[in-house]
Amino acid sequence: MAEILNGIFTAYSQYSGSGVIMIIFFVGLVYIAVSEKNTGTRTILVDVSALLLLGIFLPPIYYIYTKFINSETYWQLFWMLPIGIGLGYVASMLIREHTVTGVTLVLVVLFFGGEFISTSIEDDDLTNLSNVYRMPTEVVEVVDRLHDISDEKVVHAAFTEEFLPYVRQYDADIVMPYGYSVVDSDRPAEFYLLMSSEVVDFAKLEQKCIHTGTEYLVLPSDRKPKRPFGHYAFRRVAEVSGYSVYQYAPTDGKVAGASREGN
Amino acid sequence: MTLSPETIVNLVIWLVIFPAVSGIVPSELIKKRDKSLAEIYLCGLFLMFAVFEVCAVPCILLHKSLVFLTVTVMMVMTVFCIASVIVITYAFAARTINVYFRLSSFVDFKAADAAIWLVFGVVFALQLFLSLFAARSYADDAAWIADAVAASSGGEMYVVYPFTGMPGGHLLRDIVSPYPMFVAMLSNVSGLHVLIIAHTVMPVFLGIVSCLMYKEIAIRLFEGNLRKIPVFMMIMSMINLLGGYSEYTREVFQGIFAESSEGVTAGIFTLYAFLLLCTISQCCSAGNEDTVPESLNGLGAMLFILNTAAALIGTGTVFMMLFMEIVLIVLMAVRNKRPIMVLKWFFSAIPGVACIMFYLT
Repeated sequence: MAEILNGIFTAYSQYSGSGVIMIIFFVGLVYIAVSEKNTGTRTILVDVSALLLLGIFLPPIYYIYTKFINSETYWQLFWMLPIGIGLGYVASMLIREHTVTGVTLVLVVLFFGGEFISTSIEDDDLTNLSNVYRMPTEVVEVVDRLHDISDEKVVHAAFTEEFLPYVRQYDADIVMPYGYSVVDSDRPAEFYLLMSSEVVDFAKLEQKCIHTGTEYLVLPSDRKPKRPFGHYAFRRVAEVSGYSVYQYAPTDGKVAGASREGN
Repeated sequence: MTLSPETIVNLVIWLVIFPAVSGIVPSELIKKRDKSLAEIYLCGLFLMFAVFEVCAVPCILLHKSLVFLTVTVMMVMTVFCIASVIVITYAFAARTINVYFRLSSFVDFKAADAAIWLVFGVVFALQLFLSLFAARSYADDAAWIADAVAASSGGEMYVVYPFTGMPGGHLLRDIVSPYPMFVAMLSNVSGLHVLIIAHTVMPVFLGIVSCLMYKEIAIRLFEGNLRKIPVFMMIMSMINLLGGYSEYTREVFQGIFAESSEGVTAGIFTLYAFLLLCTISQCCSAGNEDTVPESLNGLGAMLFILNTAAALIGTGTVFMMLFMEIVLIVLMAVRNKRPIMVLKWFFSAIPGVACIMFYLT
């Protein structure tokens, strides 16, 4: 039970931030409950909000939601509360009835209780953009270059971590031996670990390319190979946006993609 | 990537004309007179979502292509549009246009109102601009956008693992909520890349749709007191801009992640559920039942459509819709001593319950 209550209050604190807006919302509900004459409006704004809030804080609801729907998004249930609409309604009433007080109050509440939606996000996953696709530019340039280099419609390529979420959002014709899910995996693929290494072991990568049918590797240009580059069955075919594109080009008859059908 | 006239025409057909025309049929169930264009449009939009859901799930299970699904949805929407033309022809034969449509919004329009509408327009434009400015690729979109891109370019739906592109099936829970295929369909019919639809078209489109909903909500809350509506709209736009008191708020998802399924839930589904429930609440209020033009049975039918449409987005959305609905319906049934309301609501809830059952399997 303690765990459930903890989960509910965590969701509440995630949603409410500093809690100022929620306090103002509750005050607004009391104002509507006292001053609103229309039963329908009072019901939807006050009674339903109160019951929804009660429901969200009920342990059985939390249990059902987290057990059967999702354990990480319980805070979304607070979207059911008409917080913005309730505040907007109270503010409209105040402004129309007491213009100066109302406007002052609204501005104070909005500017001190709120924050610009774009500045509230502190997530490294949100990337800067400068193209129509709203993608990291290097992803667009590298993928376009891969298609220029390759004769095939479907290109089998492996990338470093920063590319993984975006490549297939941009182009579904790029097939990768491992995807974005590997990043949070407890047992990440060895191919991914080899690609993430600061010193690149092309000998082991060759084996992975043969096994997975990968023809191209995209690595940061500043990565150093474990042995001088001439020893490997790879050739550097392009330099794009600080990344080197290597093609697996064996001379001894081994073919990338020999086991592709098996994948 | 250029924006051709054909692209614009196709987007207008799918995002404006289909909803606006087909919405006449479900709106006729709700009320016969005093309809606003926004009400009709919103009915049609959610009807289109519901139609897509009903067509998409069997198409995916039967391994049909995205083109087949698009043609199927287009045919069904065309049938609804034809039915709407027939309905409106009969309606006009019986009533005049100013009775059928609510066109009284601009009567008694004063300079002060115009100034407030102007301020609202500026703040709303800023809201849309910020939404577009903030729109970007998000790592958590890796799966659903990759699914949409794969379907849009390859034609087949849910046949490859989205993160890698290797052949692989999907869980039934993904198939039951095929919102990515809706975005893929818009991409195919417009010729724009899925990312452009997701990060440029959808934020603007959903921002405008949410604005229509706020206006309809205001009309109901203020009981047609038109002078309070622009003030409310202006404040709502400001709240939508300054609603980032945490990164989990409805306003943040509506503004920043508008194109994602969470953004669609936050931006339009919770608002439309509130709008319908607000209408039901006004209908059931003491003394109102004989004066409001809405029919409770028609609103129940619209809840059915809403719950079907919610299944397109995800089970979390369905859960929220059902939760909001049951709270109000039980409250109204107890207050008005009409338990039949709860029984009727069970029929409206069937699509949502079915979606959750599929999800659990």
